[in-house]
Amino acid sequence: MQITWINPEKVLYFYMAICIAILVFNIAYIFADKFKLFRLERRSYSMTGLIESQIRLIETGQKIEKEHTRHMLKLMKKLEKLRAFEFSMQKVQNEHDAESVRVYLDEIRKVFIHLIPVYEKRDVIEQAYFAAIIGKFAINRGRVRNDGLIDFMIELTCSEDVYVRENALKAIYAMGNKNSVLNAFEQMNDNEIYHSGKLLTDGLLSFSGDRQELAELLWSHAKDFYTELSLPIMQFIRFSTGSFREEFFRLLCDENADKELRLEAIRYFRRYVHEPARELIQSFLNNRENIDWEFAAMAASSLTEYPGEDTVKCLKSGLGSGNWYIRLNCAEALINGMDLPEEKLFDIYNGRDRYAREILNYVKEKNEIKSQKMDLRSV
Amino acid sequence: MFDAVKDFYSIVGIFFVVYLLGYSTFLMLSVIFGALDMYRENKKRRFHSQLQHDFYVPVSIIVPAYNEEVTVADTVRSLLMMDYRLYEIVVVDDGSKDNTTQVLRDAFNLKKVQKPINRRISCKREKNVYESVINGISVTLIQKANGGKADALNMGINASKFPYFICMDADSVLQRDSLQKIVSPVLEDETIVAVGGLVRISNCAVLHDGELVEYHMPWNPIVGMQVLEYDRSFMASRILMDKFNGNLIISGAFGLFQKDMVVSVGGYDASTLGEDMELVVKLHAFCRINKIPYAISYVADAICWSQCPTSITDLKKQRRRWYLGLFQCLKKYKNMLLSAEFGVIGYVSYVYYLVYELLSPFIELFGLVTIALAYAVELINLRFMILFFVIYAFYGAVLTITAFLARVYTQHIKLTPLDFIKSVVLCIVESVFFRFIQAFTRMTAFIGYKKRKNVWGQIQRHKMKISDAEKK
Repeated sequence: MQITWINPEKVLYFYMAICIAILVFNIAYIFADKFKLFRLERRSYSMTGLIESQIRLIETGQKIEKEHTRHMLKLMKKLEKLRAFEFSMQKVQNEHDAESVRVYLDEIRKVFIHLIPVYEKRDVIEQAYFAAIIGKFAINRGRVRNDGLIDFMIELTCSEDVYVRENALKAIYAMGNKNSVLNAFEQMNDNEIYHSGKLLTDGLLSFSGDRQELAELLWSHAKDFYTELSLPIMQFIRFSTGSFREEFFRLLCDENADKELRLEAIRYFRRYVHEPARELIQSFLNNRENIDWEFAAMAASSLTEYPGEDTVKCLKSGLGSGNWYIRLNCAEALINGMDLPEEKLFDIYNGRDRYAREILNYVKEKNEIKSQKMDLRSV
Repeated sequence: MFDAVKDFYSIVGIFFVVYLLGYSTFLMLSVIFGALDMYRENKKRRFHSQLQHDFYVPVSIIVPAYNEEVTVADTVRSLLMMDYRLYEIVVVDDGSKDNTTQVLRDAFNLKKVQKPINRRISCKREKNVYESVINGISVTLIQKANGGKADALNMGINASKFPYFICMDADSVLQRDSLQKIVSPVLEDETIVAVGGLVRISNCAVLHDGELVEYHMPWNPIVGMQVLEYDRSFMASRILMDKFNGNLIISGAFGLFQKDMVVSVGGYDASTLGEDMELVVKLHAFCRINKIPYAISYVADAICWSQCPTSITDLKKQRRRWYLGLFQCLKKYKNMLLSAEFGVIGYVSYVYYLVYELLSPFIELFGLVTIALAYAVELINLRFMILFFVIYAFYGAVLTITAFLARVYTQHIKLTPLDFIKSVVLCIVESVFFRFIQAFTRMTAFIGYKKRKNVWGQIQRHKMKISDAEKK
């Protein structure tokens, strides 16, 4: 195989050299990883001593030493030492009075503000970690006015990296400042940032300030947000407060409103009964042939909270739907939600609709199975 | 005449140099990207760059089972211990001839129900449906007429209630945290339609409560070589392909799929032996043709432990099936080849699988024949050829051991010095001999193809090694 313009064995030697370099790197990394763990333990031990000495000063009514903040700033510029801070702080939190620890964290806040220019230039993993530490120890908790730390966290919510965004948002929720949360949502909206709705809802529920006030503030701006942002706000409201019945009813009545938002409004009216919505929710099931099936399926589930002959009639008609999910939800609503005795379903059990009968029987059987409450040890 | 032969050999020589360098380059890039990716993932783990939630993405786990009475109960038991809150288990007994259904009914107190199946994808009808709720997790067993793995999976999709499903094998065990890990890309990116997990060989592992407690390199070289081969494939080439959304395979042993998207493409194809690959390629084709933004992702730390064949006979059966599945799939989607519409899938992924997976045994056979002929007419430098072969084999061994060691540190596996020596020796053996077993199996796969093109071939199953504490 004599090829004049290429020397294959030399190329292979070259490739092999690269692989061996990676191999050496892997082996070195295995040992370095073990060494790092050992160093982390030692660093955490010594840093715990430093922090505890300042906590003792706080406990005796004194302020922490300026030299300590200077020293901590110098240390925490290094990622591994920031990690040691995390471990040390955890230990200190477990062993000391919460109030003294809170005062210490408030005092050390300015260290983190001085660290912003350092971590601003770092890669996304390090930025995410910096935000995680701010969130974990609720640095800046209760601060009403925006400062450099809040601004930096808001800036990070527009990062391309999902972990940076998520950790920055968690830090903002932990601060408990409703305006910062609004600012973060506005930033994401303006920059068309997609962030998982489930993460946003769960994050909002961890807000350490007044949830009702946050709900009102966010809802007052929700119409300016795109659906992926306003939907988690509605979900957060559903889990937080029942005081948005009128607003959500207006949304549900609006046929031009986004489908997902209207479906969320139906869910809201399952959790918080609103009598004026009864007829509209029933109409989703009655007019199921003309609308998206999701409305009818969701309406069937919500109607369990609106008992009455009209609802029973509506749900029974839903059992005749060609859509499996609508049938199942109607059957579950009739049997589980409304707790209807068998004689009231006589017409279905003895009717001509086999699918309606089958789904009712299945829901009954499923209930029996669920009632057995088995666990892994019993089987 | 002699000049013509010389010209022919020059062309053949150029072809083989390009062919081998192409493959070597792909493998080297795979190992580099794999190592960098794993280093980065390890750093992310240490510094809180992870999304782990145990209920955000509700998941149905579908377990197709055919004559799996030996392993299926252990599999379901391990699935009931996952670190996840919102999931269900759907086992589909695909017309087993053994006691698969009875074993499951006895083990999990399953009761017969009249569950109406929401038939969104075509599949053979159900005979019986059984259900139970254990630890708050719904367990469904569907008994149906035999229709093959794809048909059983389609039934499982129809019977499942959650928007995402996981397909897995009845002889496999998911690591306890694997559901949390495999759903994380869905939280990161709304366009994800499928996620592949890492499949590792369970023959040499001992698990307790879904967690690895003991791991040693096996003495059986057939198993050992497969361990290394899986590591190279899952820890290197799949990571590289993932970088450009170009993975064409998500192993049937462990993958997560968005149900609506799979239903839109008609589910699994029951007429192919490689239903797992066919589904992924079909998803690529569907999304690209319809201009749907999509991503198919791969998560190297979502782990499924699966049994591998322990004898050459079983190994050949498995590899024959894989190879014919690959052939059927590439044939079905031949319009993807070098097509601008399919972008990087058509230019890179398809070409790689066509040249280095499907055609490789024939190219290698052609190479051997030309070498023999060249030797006969004294046109070969035998010393150089042997040297080149040795370098190539050594290069393959270095690549494999690099991928293997990358896994050791990222997954914090403890290896004894004996394990390490075994790994190094097996890397060399794998690089020299395993390739020939593969090539021979592939070359002979088409023998009797017309008659046996849909025959899977039964492979001997063994009980998983689980620690005593778990058995109690």
